[in-house]
Amino acid sequence: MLNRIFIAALSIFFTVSAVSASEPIKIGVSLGLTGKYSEMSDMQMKGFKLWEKDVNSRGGLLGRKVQLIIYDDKSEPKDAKSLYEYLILKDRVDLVFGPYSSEITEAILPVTEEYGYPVIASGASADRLWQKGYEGVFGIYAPASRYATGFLEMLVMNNLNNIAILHAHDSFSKDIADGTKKWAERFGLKVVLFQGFNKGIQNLDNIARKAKASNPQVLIVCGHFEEAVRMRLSLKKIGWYPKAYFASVGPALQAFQDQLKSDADYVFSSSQWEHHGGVRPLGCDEFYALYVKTYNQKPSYHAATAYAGGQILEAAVIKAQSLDTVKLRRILAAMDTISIVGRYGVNASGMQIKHFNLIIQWQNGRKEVIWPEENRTAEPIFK
Amino acid sequence: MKEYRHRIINSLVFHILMPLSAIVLIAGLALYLFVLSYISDFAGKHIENSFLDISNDIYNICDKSLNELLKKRLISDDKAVRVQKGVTIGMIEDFMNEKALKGSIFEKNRELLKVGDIPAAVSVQIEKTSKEYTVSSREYGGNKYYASHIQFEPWNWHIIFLKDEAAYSALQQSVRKAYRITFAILISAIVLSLFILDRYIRNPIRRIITSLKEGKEPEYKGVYEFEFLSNSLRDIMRQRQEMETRLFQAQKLEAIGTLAGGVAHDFNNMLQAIIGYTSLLKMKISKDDPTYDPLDVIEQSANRAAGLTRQLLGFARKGKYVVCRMNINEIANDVLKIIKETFNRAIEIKTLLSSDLCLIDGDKSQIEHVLLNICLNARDAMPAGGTLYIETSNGEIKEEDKPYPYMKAGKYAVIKITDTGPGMDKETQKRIFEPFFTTKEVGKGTGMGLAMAYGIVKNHDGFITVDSEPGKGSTFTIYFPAKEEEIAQGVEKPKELHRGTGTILVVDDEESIRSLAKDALQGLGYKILEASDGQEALDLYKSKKDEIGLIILDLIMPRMGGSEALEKLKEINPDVKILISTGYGVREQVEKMIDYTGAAGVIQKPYNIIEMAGIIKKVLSSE
Repeated sequence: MLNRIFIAALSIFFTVSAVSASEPIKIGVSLGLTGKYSEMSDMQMKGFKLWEKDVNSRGGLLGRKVQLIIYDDKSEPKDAKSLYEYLILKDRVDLVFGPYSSEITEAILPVTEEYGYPVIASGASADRLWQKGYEGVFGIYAPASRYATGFLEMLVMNNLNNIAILHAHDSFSKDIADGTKKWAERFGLKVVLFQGFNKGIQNLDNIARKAKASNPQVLIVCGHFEEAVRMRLSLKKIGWYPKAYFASVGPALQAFQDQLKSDADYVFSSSQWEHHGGVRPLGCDEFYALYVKTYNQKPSYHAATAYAGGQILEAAVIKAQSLDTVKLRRILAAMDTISIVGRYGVNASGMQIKHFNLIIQWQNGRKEVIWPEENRTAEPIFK
Repeated sequence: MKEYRHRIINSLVFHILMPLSAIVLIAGLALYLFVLSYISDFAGKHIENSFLDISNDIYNICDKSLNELLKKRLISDDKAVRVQKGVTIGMIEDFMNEKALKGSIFEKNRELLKVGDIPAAVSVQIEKTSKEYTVSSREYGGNKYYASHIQFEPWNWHIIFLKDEAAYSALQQSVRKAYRITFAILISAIVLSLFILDRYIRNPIRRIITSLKEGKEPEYKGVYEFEFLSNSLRDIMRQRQEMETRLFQAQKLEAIGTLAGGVAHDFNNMLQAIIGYTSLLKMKISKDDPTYDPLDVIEQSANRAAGLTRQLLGFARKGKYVVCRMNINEIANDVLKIIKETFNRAIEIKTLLSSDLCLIDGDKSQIEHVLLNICLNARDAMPAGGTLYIETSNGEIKEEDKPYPYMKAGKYAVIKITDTGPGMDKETQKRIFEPFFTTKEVGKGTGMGLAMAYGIVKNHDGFITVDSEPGKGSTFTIYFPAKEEEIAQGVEKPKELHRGTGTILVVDDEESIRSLAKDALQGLGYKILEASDGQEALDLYKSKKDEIGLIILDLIMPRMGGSEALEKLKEINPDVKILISTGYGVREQVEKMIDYTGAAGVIQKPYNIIEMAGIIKKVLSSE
């Protein structure tokens, strides 16, 4: 009798082992493939897919193939939240990546925390994500509050002391604005206007006029791609261009230049990664080449950070030799490694502290790195 | 209350608990001083060191930033300095967040950085009330913090930082745990000690004491020392019980002796008349007279009755008539002669008589009687034959190892008579010296033999013991006090009837005695005067002192006793010849009287006419 039970147990064990060994490791993610974050999300999706292809070409993870499950959350936090629940409970994914944007990441974190999934925030950087006591969210981006630090440094050096800060009312944009203001004051700059506006507003003329009225030397707009483009258009419309115009997110994308053409010139922005002028760690060139080859376009930092997210997760799983989420959390919290976008290392709350971002400027239809000085591809131009 | 307190203070538990508590207290104190306070100090030092590290790290951030400016020769470039200072503030902010610190940076009262919710007033207070690089405790917003501050002089920065005490709670808990564990160990030590004390010391003692209080023999088994104590106490109790039994037995024999002595005294007086008058009647008639034989039978019977009475008196230790210094070996030899001839041939008789045996003082016939009686018992115990041992030896009883507590220390002549008969059980041994106790068939033993032997030996200041076990025979051991000096031989018994002349005053309250004496002595040629008490005798002697040649004086009489009368008679005539007549008496008293009053001798009642005639003749003829 006992023998029979033993044999049965043994056969079940081997069956399960065989099944789990042959089954792919499922990693889920939702992205705003449509909606307001579509430009960035598209880049991210391509980055993830490239990593999926790469990792599987290397033999997968722990001897198993990696299978990505990507859903479109329509750039809506609510949709994203439901999708992550679906990924975890229905698709029974082994692991997840973070969605694009801080706003949406903030929405899905309660779900991943509840089920104990570690999240590599490959598309979010709002400081507040690491101020809520979550144990399983690990940043790749330099935090939002530091986006403009390098730019502010250049303002000091160029005697541009008065700045106006405008920001959209989403968490990410607000965090950039707050951080920028804080750092501006730290550098002894004068913030002549600090003004918010509703996310998704189509016409920014009025707010542009208000900024002009405060007579700043520099205008900083904290928002995403759409806000960056619209503000540039409004400035053109009201016929005012300050000494420097900095938009937090958007100009780093080729689409910015594609849409604005020559109007994109002289616009400053931050970037988490650039192929030319970036730190170019090992694998960076290969990624760039493969991306261009695969998608026939240049990758933005969104694509690179998505790919880097895959690399970091891969390193953690190899180190853990397991998909155990508790083990992976512990490893991700302590790991100090280098991906194609630069260093990865988080503080006790999971916020990225080792990676630093770049400052870029469009000059004559080219995206140039102008900060840090050591990485500079061109001198900054102040109108 | 006082007694209760005294009892508690002197209790075993108190005496052990107090030193134990003191030891635990000292151990606890030592542990606190040398271990716990060290751990506590270690915890404090750890916190101090951790703050010192933080201070140094923050200072190094500033230091490094400043050096960068110097290296780039930008120290005098105001813009570069502004940027560098801003970057440095950012680094310190990161560092504080990383280390979960709260804090602020002040430059000339301007707050450059605030990490956490720390109010500026608190920062200022920390900076003003404590030294740099030292740790102090602070409390705000309901939380406790450790706080410290440093100064970066090149930029005139005052950097204050705090850390929640909870961050060190693990360490503090460890210290508290160490205290608790130590305390628990000490308490456990006390409890364990008390348990051991209770189980292995107090409990055995309580059990032993409880048994003693209840009068039971302690029967503790367990800890060797207490088991030994328990067994010793039990042995002592048994010995005491045995002694009490022996004492009771001795008292019983004493009481029986007193009773028997009293009865024997009266008997003696009655037999005196019977024997006396029978003797008198026989003297008056010829042997051919038909009444002579019946009179002879009466006399013999009366003599046997007198013998029995003597035995009773012997047991009652009331008679020890003829004392002389002697060697027991002589008596033993006399007895051996008799038993060798009379005993069954199947009984082998073995002797071992000491050649240098101590002499003793005693009544030869009585001691002979004792030995014979024991030998007869031995014979009766061996109807099918056996061995009878008779041994004599010198013995000494020492005070420190007396075989029986009632024995007196000293030198003794010892005679031991052993048979190989069936022996006796303990119960029989206990009662063997009681009068009329016998194990023989009805009619075969009087039960007086050993009782009398006991009385005789006691009366000689000796001891008799029996040692026997069923199946192993019996040994009677008799101790007689050894004497070293020789004394005069006793009065020899006359063999013929002495006649004489002169006047004899017979003083006795018993009419029959006086009459008997008168009749008997008149027949021998003496003139007899009578007095019924001491006073009458005195009066008579005063008037006829020249005539009266001898006074026979009874001791116990109404009005004036013999002793008083004797003294007064001596006052009248110091040379007066007096014979003391006594039925039974304390030998010492009579001897004393002879010594101090100069009485001429003693006549034992009942009178034996021939013996009395001899004594009277001897006294009257002496000058």
